[in-house]
Amino acid sequence: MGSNEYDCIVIGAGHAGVEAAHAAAKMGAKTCLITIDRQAIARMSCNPAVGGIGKGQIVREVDALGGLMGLATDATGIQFRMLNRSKGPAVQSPRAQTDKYEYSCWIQQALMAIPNLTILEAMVEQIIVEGRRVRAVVCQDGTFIKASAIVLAPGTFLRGLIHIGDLQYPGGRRDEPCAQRLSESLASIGLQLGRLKTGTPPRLDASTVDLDQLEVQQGDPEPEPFSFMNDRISVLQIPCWITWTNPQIHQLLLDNLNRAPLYTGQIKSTGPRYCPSIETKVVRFADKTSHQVFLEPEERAIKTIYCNGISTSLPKDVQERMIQLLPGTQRARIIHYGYAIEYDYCPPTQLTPGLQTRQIEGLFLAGQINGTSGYEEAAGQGIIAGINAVLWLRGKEPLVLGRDQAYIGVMIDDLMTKEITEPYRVFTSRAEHRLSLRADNADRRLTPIGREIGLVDDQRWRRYQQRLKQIGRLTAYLKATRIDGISIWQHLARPQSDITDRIRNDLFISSFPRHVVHTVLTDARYEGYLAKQGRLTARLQSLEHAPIPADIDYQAVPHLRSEAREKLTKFRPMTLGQASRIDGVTPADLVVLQIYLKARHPGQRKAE
Amino acid sequence: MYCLDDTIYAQASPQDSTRTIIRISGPDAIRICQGLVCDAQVRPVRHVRTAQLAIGQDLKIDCRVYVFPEGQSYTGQAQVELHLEVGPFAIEQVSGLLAKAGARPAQPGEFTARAFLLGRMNLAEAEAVNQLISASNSIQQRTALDLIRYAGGVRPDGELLEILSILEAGMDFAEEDIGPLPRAQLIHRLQDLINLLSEILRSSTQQEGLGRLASVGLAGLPNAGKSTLFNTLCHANSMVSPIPGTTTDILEAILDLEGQRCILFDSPGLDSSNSLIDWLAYQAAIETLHRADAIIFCVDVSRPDYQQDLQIHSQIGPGQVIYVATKADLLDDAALQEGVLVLNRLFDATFIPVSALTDRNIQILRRAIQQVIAPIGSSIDPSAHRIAISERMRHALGSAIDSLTDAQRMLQDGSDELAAMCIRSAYCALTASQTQIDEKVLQTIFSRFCIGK
Repeated sequence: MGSNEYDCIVIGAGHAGVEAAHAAAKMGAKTCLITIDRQAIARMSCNPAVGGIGKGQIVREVDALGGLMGLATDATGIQFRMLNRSKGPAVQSPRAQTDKYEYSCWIQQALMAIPNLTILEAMVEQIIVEGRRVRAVVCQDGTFIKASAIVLAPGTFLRGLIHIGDLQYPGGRRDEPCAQRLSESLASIGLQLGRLKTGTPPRLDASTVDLDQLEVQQGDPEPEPFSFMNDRISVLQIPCWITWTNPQIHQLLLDNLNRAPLYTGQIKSTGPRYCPSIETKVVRFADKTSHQVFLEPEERAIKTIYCNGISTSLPKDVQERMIQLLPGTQRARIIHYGYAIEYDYCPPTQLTPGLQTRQIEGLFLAGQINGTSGYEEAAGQGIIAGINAVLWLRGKEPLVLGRDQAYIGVMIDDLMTKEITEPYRVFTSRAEHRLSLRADNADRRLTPIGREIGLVDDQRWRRYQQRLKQIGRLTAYLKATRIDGISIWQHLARPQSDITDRIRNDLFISSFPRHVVHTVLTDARYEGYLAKQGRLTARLQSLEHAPIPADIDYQAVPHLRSEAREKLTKFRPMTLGQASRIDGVTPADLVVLQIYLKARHPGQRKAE
Repeated sequence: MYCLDDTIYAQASPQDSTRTIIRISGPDAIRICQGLVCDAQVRPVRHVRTAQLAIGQDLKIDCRVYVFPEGQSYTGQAQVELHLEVGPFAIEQVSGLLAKAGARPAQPGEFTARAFLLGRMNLAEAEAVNQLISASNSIQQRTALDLIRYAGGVRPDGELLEILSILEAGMDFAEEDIGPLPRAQLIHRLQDLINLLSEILRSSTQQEGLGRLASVGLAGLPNAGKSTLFNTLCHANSMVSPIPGTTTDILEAILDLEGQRCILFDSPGLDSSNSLIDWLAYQAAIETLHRADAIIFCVDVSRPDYQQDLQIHSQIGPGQVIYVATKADLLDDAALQEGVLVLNRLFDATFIPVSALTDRNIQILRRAIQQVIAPIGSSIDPSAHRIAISERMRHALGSAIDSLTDAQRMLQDGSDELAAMCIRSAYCALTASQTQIDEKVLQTIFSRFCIGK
């Protein structure tokens, strides 16, 4: 293999790209990660934070498979909090503020330590395809690099268009060029493109913010690490601060709507409902007199402040006036203005569940190009795309995680079966197996899989085995030890039991690490409910393994309603399970399909 | 969609024949029946035996049990038939016991679909099966929710969706400024729903009273406007579709004619020209019509000719017939008059031209029905409002009530994630679908709460 020839090329070094490159290289593929700017590797373009509800679970899953995000967050976090701590364990999720510069450096160093991974600074302009199979990429400077597989993770860079008031200019992110030509190349090889929008708030010079006037939000007293490799976090934590908008600000925004690209028609694509700009919030919730704003430091040294809650694309003078009216930031200097960005994405109906494009063999897509948003969602797809690129090179079946196995599985399946009307993000309410997909048991769900595909190293594997052993020992103890005639385990399964208080001083239990105790107590608590969850989902489970042939012609299936025919043709589900989740496909349509498939391939499956 | 691993059951005989057959099919059929039979062994070999079923504390009924082991039954799965000569109350008890033991009521066409999927039918028959299921699509969608609408209640799906949204917002958006969870209020709202569903279940299960009412059936070709007329007469809003063959189940409701009451039932369109399966449905419909005290024979007056109507007219049986020319609104006055004259001559009868759309002559029709049923009489308390309820719907209501009661307990306990699971389960039962409601939940959350940082 020549110096300009790789097994796998990863285009884009955001959170999807780095996980893909790391996974591919760790699995032994000769890998090249191409980025426009080496300094921008794993850059946090928006919020300087990792995790959150649902998202925290994904970070744990990436970690359990052997990925980087959890380790990097633990190493560079400046504030750690477990969200929903007072609620059920299934919806508890870790979240951390990070030092965004240290985070980027940490990832760069981790990647540089991998011998068969090359990092190249270049802008890819073209993907060369031969006979429906990827062959190479061509960069702006004419460099030609051969590759057997390509993972494309360009984030918002595909024909990115930045809006600040009536000012609009091409850019991939603030002060970074966009990839203009790559979109054309994708269209020319047969990929269909759409357009989405997202936005970011202004950043302030921290020395000009009167933080001491503001409400403080502290991290957890006993911070919990993201990575299963770490027992504890022992860094000094940095607080965040909270302020509130007021009617004066709202009036200012309303007075300037005629200069807001979201309202003038300058922005044509849809942004996320869960992440509206401040102008949208003021318009849609006119009766609210105040909106919360979190002021989050972007680095341990607290030089810049991220204003979480006032994402905007209003003109610079309006942004300045808004900051002047915001309590605590009256005299603050804006270092970077908020902006909105529109970018190209590829509607994910063009993908297989392994994240490979259906049109072009060897081309894998991950992150915002698939219509998602969020670092965690990107990382989750990135690691899967990297793994599957290598599995494909080796002629093996792709890794497809089930909806009952991982939030990553829920996300990718949602991408296959849902209409993308806004950038997609995970919510725990989207997971019908929510009780099983806990942050604390991601290792049990995925580390054996990571080991099998060669991504989990010996050190992680040993640690996992040890934790498993501890879980087993503690479980046995709780089942064997009786209080008031029944085992502690049975007590734990009962609602409103006071048993956790009564075993607080049990010396044997306290001899285990905190995470082991938490996992085992939760196992006991949920055991009975998992059975109920199982009953609710069982009828659909059997359909997950009923394949639909890729070449099926829905026009030829008699008795399908036309709406079902149209939707099935559009999404081309791989299994009856996927078909069942497409909006507009009824249970009766599925039976019609099931019977048609059986009639076409008699004797292929004994029982569905 | 059909999962073959469930054990399903359904009544396989007309409801008021002296004998009722309950057919049970699936991997657990034999085990479940063994649990019901109190004095005999039900073994997994082909046999028939007389046995007793314990349906109450001290209540036993006689029954013949036909056992068909796997590979030797209609569906190919283990199958048991219980042949009973008892009243509706006992049948209801047996159904309840089957559901409790883990079986569920079958969907329309499900036995046949299983037979096909398990290789018990040939390829040509598959077509017919799919046609049946396709036609039953709208019947499947006729769920417990529609029943609640018939009973004059509010639809609880919107309410469930809202409760679930508030609950989910509290979990998925804990970081947002959405205020504390109104726990007590949610528990209260769940109670209101439980009360509503329980009331419907309670009042609709008194099915035995229905036997004493006169029965009036709607007959006619597919798409002759029977379902529309049914809804207009009952002031109900059942699903009416322009696709012929929408009504493949028999649907019943109580018609109140100024104190005089009767059961009005809507039958599938009579059309014997199609498949084998349609022919079976046709036979079943004819049989039901023959048992009716009176028939409302519907002819779409706007059709170009009435030859097919004439053909099926000869089949509808001996009861009294009220002739109705439907869709009168589609013709102008002259054409309507002409059409009715032709009909009167052809059928040697007097047709009442009606329009369900404009309510034309609906009052006259109601009086005609009243006259016909007057001699049959009924002494039912007119204040009682009852609806005949299918086993499938009863099962759905019962399971929704159980789930909502669980949800209340979980909410009290602070286990919101478990309460949410129970509410989802109730929602699925009531809407008879497994459709994911997450998008609707998110939509409700985003319109209700200002989410987003």
